[in-house]
Amino acid sequence: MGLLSFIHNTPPSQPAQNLEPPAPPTRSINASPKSALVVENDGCLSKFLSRCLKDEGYAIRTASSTEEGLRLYRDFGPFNVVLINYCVPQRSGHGIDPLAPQTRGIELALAIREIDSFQGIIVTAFAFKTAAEVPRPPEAMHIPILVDCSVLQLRGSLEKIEVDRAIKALTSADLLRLRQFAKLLVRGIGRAARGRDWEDLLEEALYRTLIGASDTQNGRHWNRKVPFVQHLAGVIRSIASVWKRQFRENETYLVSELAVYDSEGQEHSPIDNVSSGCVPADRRLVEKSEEERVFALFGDDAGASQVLRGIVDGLKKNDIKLAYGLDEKKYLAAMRRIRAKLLGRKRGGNDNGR
Amino acid sequence: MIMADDKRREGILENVVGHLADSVLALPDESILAEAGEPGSDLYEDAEHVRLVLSEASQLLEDVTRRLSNMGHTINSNYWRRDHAGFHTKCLNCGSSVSFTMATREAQGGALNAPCSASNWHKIPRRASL
Repeated sequence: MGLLSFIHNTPPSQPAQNLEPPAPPTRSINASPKSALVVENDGCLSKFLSRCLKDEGYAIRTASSTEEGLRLYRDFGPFNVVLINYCVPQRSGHGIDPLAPQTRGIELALAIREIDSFQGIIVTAFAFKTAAEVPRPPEAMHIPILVDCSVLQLRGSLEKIEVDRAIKALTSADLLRLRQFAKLLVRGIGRAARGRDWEDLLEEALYRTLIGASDTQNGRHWNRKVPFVQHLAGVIRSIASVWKRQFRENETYLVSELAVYDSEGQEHSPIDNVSSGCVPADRRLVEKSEEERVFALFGDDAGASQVLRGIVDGLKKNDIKLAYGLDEKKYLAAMRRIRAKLLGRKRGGNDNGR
Repeated sequence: MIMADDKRREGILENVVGHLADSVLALPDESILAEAGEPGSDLYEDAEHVRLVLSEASQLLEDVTRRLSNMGHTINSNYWRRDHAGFHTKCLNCGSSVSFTMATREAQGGALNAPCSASNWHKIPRRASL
């Protein structure tokens, strides 16, 4: 009997006969924020994977056959992650022919996905060199396959599952907060964004998080003690800062910016348009005009201008309120108007000065 | 004095924007929902669009890795080099390269044009060959 028919024929409250009792967790599942199910018939590999997961903070349950794995999943799932050996047999015990090929892991993965389509699953196939060599039906092609028995690879796969889970858990307010945050930072770096927008910022932040589990140079590790929104905000800020710094260092110009034409349409050497060695002189003018432009936006809004002046002068929130005699309500309203205007939106700009 | 003034001005906009961005993070949920909606758009749709951006970014790397794997290439998915043009890596076996950019979501490079020339001897699964 295949696993898919097995799960359809076995009601959740009625365990299949002749099954072993569930293996005790190595740590209390309830006491840990993260849980994992390891379905692995090789005792050494099971210990190795369990230890790796334990080091990552997971509480673990183990099973040595697909039947036992499915039963544990039904009794204790969902888990943060389920690790399944591609070659795990359907049943454990003396009836197993150790030489016969066992490829039930994919079936178990599909059976679990049928119970919970969002369950994070990794299929381990250490007997293969590449994932492409692992035979599986089309519906299982999206399940990650781990062919390299290394802690780094496992950590990378776990990171993806945890990040995907965190993305699904974000509330509408979280998502919109991230968008506003990224939009503001892109607005702040101006030309240094080089045509990139808030979506690019968000995407790169996510990518750096994904590789952050094992690549400390290019990635940004997500410390699970930090809320996901806060982590992404930190990465976004860091990327925006790098974009700006790279832009300054390279002083990159668009081709259209480099081409110099006189009044008669004659093109001149682009060298004439390259910034001088006295960069601060150039930049001072740009910054000054930008500052004036920002203040000009709030010329008819005394409250916003005051708050803006306070920020420019390096004052903290309470100092700004104190300096300009603003109560909390007026301060927050002014901040809202500044954000709305800088993001070029009409809403929020109708209560000028109030 | 001039240098100090330059540095101060240089940080003005970053300071203002940083301050405003921080204020967004500190806003209560109801305030951000009231403020973040674009005129004429649906808040829920806006929020789900952001989720889609994140989900697609998460999927992109996996898709590129799978395409490479299907062509027999082996890469260390945790080591992508980043520069202004995108992300780059090389097949560990044949050395052919691949790169992709987040902006266009397009992958390109020799590794995607031809199967791995050094992976034929791996056709037989390791366990089966024992």
